[in-house]
Amino acid sequence: MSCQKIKKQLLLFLDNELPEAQHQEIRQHLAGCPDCSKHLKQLTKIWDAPAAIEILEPSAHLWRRIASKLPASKNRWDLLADLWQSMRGFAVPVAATVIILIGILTGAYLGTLPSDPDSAISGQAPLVAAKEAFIKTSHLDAFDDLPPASIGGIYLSMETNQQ
Amino acid sequence: MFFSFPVSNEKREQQSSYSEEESVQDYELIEKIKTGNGIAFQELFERYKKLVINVCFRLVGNKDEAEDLTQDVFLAIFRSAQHFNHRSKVSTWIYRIAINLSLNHLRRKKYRHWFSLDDTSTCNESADLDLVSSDCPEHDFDKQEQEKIVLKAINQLPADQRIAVMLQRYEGLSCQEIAAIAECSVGAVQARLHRAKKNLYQKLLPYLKEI
Repeated sequence: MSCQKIKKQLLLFLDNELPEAQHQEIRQHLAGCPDCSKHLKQLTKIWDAPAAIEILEPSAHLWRRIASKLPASKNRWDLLADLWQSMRGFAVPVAATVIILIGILTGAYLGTLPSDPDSAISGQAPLVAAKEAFIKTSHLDAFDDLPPASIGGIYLSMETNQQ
Repeated sequence: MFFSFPVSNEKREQQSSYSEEESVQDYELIEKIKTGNGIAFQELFERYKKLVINVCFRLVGNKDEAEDLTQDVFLAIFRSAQHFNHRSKVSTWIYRIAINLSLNHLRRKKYRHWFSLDDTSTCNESADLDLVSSDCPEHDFDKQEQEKIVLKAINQLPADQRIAVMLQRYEGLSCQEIAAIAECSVGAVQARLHRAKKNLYQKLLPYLKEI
């Protein structure tokens, strides 16, 4: 390959975009040709500088400019709907946490209230106590529950009524 | 034919894992934008604003015009989200919109110049090339000047070659990704890059003696 032909392909050589055989051929040529080697050095210097390019940052107010030009059909309710849409993923875990917290706090509060067992059996307490005393003195507690139509049952009801 | 590209394998792997993870989120954002969700649109804007403004900037070469174009690109994204089908990646679709609007802008600018009586401005379809910042450290000056030369040469290429080179050189995209953006075959992209680099060599030749 002539020097002229080699030089035309040096950018492709630098970017490794040549077929392997052609790449090797140019490499061999460069090893023995000072002129083409010098040319490659110059080209490398100018071509390998993309880092020097400026990276542009958009201005701070660009979003406001764009947002102001969006379709005006969106009203306050639409924006609230957007907000809800974006928060929807968090809604269920947050609601579950709130419910559990309310349960724990209510339980803790109820646990601190004084208990009043007398109020629970007011009125019925003497009657129940008498019935239990009779069952114990007459040794009826040895029996299981007496069926209502049985002799034991009739006897028990008569004795209870007498007392 | 064997082709490899200057972007390292490591960088390409990082890009592909990043894009796989991100593209799922991108699709979700697009679905929300289809329903008119402004918050999802703002999230997409935050994610792609830098990419869009820099693609526009490299194509038109002017900061103010790049910012105006970025605005147009995002408005176009919002309007056309309804028509987005999941056949391509969201980033590919955004690149395509940014490139098309930038090229349209350059074409309009060119026509405006033709019909304008004011002949003081020099305008063509390529960028004005105010691309390298002047407020960088002094030791970078040579590199910046060299990059300015390269950019000037790239901007003189035909549009298809220019886009292929820009996406490869500055965005680090693979031939497959460039093909998806340009809606052509991988072979066509490789041919464009091949032609572009031969053309670029001719355009850079006068500057090589000065270095």
